[in-house]
Amino acid sequence: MQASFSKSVRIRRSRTFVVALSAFAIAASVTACSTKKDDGPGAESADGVKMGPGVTKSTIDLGVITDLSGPFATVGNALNQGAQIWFDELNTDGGICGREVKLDVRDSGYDLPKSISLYSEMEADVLGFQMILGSPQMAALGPKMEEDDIFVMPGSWASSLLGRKNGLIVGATFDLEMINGISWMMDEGLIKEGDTIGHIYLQGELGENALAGSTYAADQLGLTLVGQEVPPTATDVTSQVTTLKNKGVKAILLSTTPGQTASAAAADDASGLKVPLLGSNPSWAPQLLGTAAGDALKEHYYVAQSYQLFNADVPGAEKVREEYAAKYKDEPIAVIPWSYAAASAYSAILEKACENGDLTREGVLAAYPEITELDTGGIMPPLDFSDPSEPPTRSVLIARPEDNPLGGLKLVREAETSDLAADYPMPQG
Amino acid sequence: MTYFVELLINGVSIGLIYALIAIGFTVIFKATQVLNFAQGSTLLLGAYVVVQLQERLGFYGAVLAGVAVAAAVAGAIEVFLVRRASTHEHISLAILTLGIDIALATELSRRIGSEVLSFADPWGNRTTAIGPFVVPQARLAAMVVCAVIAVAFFALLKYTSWGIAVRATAEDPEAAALMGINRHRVAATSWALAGGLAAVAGVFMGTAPSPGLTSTANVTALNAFPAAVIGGLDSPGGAVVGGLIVGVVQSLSGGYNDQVSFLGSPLSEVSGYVVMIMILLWRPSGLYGTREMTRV
Amino acid sequence: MSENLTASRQWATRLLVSASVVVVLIAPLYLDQFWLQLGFFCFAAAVGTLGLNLLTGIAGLLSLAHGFFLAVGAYAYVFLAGGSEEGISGALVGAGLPSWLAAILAVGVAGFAGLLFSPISGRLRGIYLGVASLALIFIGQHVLHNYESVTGGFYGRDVPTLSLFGFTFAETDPVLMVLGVPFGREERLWYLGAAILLVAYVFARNIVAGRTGRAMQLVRDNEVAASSMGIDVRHYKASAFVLSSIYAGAAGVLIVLALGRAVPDYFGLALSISYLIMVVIGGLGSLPGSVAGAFFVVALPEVLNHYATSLPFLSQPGGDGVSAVQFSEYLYGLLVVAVILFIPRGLAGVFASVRGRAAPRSAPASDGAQLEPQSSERPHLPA
Repeated sequence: MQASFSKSVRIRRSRTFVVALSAFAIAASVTACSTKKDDGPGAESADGVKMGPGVTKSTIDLGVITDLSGPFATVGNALNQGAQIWFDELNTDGGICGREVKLDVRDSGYDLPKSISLYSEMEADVLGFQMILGSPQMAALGPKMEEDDIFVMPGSWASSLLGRKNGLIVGATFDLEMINGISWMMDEGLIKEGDTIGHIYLQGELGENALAGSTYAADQLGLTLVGQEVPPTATDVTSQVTTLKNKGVKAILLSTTPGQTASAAAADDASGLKVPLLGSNPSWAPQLLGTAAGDALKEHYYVAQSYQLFNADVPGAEKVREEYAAKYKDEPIAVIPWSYAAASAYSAILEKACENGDLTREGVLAAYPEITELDTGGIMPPLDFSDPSEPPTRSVLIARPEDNPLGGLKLVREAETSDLAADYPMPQG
Repeated sequence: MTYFVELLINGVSIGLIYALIAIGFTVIFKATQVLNFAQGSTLLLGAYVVVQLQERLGFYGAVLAGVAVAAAVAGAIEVFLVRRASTHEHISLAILTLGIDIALATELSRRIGSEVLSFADPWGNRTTAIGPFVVPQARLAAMVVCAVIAVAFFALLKYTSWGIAVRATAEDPEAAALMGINRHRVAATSWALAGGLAAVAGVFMGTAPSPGLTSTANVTALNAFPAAVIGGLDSPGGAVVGGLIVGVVQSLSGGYNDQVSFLGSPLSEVSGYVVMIMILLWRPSGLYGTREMTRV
Repeated sequence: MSENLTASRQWATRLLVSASVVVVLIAPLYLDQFWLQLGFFCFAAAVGTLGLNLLTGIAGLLSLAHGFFLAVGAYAYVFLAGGSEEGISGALVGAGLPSWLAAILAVGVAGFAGLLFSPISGRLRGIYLGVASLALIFIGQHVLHNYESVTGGFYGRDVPTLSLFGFTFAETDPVLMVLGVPFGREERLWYLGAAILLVAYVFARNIVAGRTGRAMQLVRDNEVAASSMGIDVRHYKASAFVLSSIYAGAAGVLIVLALGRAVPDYFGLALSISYLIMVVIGGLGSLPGSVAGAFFVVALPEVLNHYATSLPFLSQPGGDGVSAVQFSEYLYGLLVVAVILFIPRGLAGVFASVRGRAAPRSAPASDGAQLEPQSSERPHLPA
């Protein structure tokens, strides 16, 4: 009896549930349609600027889909910090076109379906994406972004992203880092014609793109290149170094995770190989100085990158340092000045669109190639976006580790374009 | 030839670390018939504790603390969760540990972020030359410690009353209980022991030539799965053999990947699993595992 | 009294079903892209979860390789429907078949992959099978990264649009307006997903209720008894793998249709584990539970993310505390533990008790019983 009583209560409850559902369904069908109709063409504000999605009289909304909780959370956070510093400063100075720029930052955890969901959720409400992190994400969303005419900056330096009318690469690509780096090693006499060099590279975008550069350079300079592919999950690359030692390499290129960089440096030193190491820009993290490989890194490792160091003596980097110290307490990582400069490049393009009186997506795409000599406070060489199939700069600087709390690197050579890098035919994605 | 021996040494030293983790799998499986998926995050936990405490307690003190914490957590998982499950099915219990692993690994990787957990171990980056071969001292230490622990463990299993209790429980839990063996105590101590072994393995995974542990170390620890299965899930001795097989196969397949480039690269990522499948096809319960004719 | 109860219960069930049908049918009229896409991912994941539940819940075989079979279905579709083209890292080959045919064949290819695994699945027992299946994930990743001419390698490959007798599941072609609402890609896929899920569900129910399903359950509960009753144990284990791979293949095809690009990263170990979580949270052996589990696991982080700004316990993006994604991970982990410890029948059990269905049972092992036709049509009631 007790049982059947409680059951009848449950049934009543379930009936209520059904009724509620039907009521919901009816209500929904009545209110339907109206919410989903097209908004029509962009309006024009009092100041004569044409406005599209994500733009109002007082604000410009930009989307950010990044990784704040997944495997690239540290980079994601740092990119965010650099951009935030730029936009806070910008908004204090009056924003763009008299409008405040708002970043809508979302965390994808680097998950692909999540990123795609986020994109469709945000797309209608933003003018563009200030950052989408992850090359699988960029690859998957590419056709959609083209369809939506939306302007996006990927958090990457891969040549495969070149040639899009709506993708912004800020800096020199991974292949150019390697070509410039190898040219520099030749100039310094660290390697010479006829030598064998090794390249430990990650599966995926960074590795493939960097390998294209090193292969080209080795061909042109009469070097023999031995490649060793590693998965991103590996932390110990001792056996790869052992293999390269067996091939008699005179230098090792590293397009690896920071952990693998440290492992390679330790193995290079410990095995008695002791050849110079040259890394792509994502292969470095200042935390590596605190590991057992710290001394080996200081002795053998160099990094090639197109943006200035955190402790550089240029106005942009000084500004970043000042604001960073005021805002954040983490140890700064190398990529922060880049993300500050990249955000400034994105803003410059919007600024140009405003000047042209067209803050719609089409207006932004049209303004993009009009920027031909952008100054990023000295963080990067002047950037030229006139040809989307060309990187905005081909210059790369060389740095090496030292004990300092501001990025842990010291400059070895200022940014320069080697002859080889200048002649390099860019692969197109 | 030198190259081959170098690869072999590297493989053996990694294999012994896998063996430590795999012994943990097998001792848990022997005592409680559970495959513990949380072993990877236990390893990460132990290593994390060591890094947090090494400045205050010194390296050895911190290792002791890390081992103790990992052992306590693993033991607590058995006492408070596994033991209380309403089912004793292998699969449900394995999934239970998977749930624990997800929660624990999420919390640890949130704390660790992208930091490299590096140890203040006394070996640092120093190397020792053995004939023409240069071996990092940390790896030599790993080999010695892992071998000593493995031998001590077998002595424990063979000669102590605890060992007899574990073996008796594995053989016939009911009869063991009737003989007055406290099954709960056997279960809890086995889990704790496995947790401690994982912590030690975690430390050696992070010493030279590895730069330290990252938050994905629990994934690397998955390599101990094929090791445990190759040897047989209820055979701690098999776990040592399995660990060595996986370590050496990984090292050789990585080192000679060039010669078999048509198989794709990096081969070292899959070779351990391929060998595991081949061995299972030949012996479905691993090399030294008890063949279950029936399990009802 | 008890007949009354049964009648009203059936009435309630029918109403619930028809209400859901109505909701599914009219939803695209007012939901925006985000919700439609999320709904589609839920439908697709539910198809995959049904398959894994047939394998793990009904037949009692642990598999960590479900993500691998999803990948087989997904990449088979991309290869069969795709043409020979220039990809990011080199030339790609494709069979160039009509996309509807490619989709059907892809599901078949996934089933065939399940069959190829049968020498292993037939020989191994229990937990050994679970670990052996782990190997498929790693081998699969290796192949996806290396067999570039077919898979596109790390960057993956674009997914051809599905079209059925001239009707494409895309923005246009033909342009479609329903009650003043333009029906684009998301709206069309929504209906496709819902239809496939319905077919998959009905098919699974028939399997479970039929000979195959009962034989599988018997093999799960007692292999010796099963074989002494003349059941070919190996055959049923192999069939379970084939069936679940077919489901995984269908889910894989659906998911890449929504993703727009097949990339190997997606089909890693984490995917397999998340399917296992869906099955367990939904309830081992319960088909409605599978659907509920899939919806819960897929939708939770997205919904939390969507409302993150108004949820005080979540940190804002870039802030210190716990993010929506991490919060969901904790919750999954703890829920899995809770399900195994306290609610052995998962969400299905919770629903059943809310709806006053079967009395709670103790262990998931005996759960399959509730799926037998007798128990779902004439529930046994305590006096």
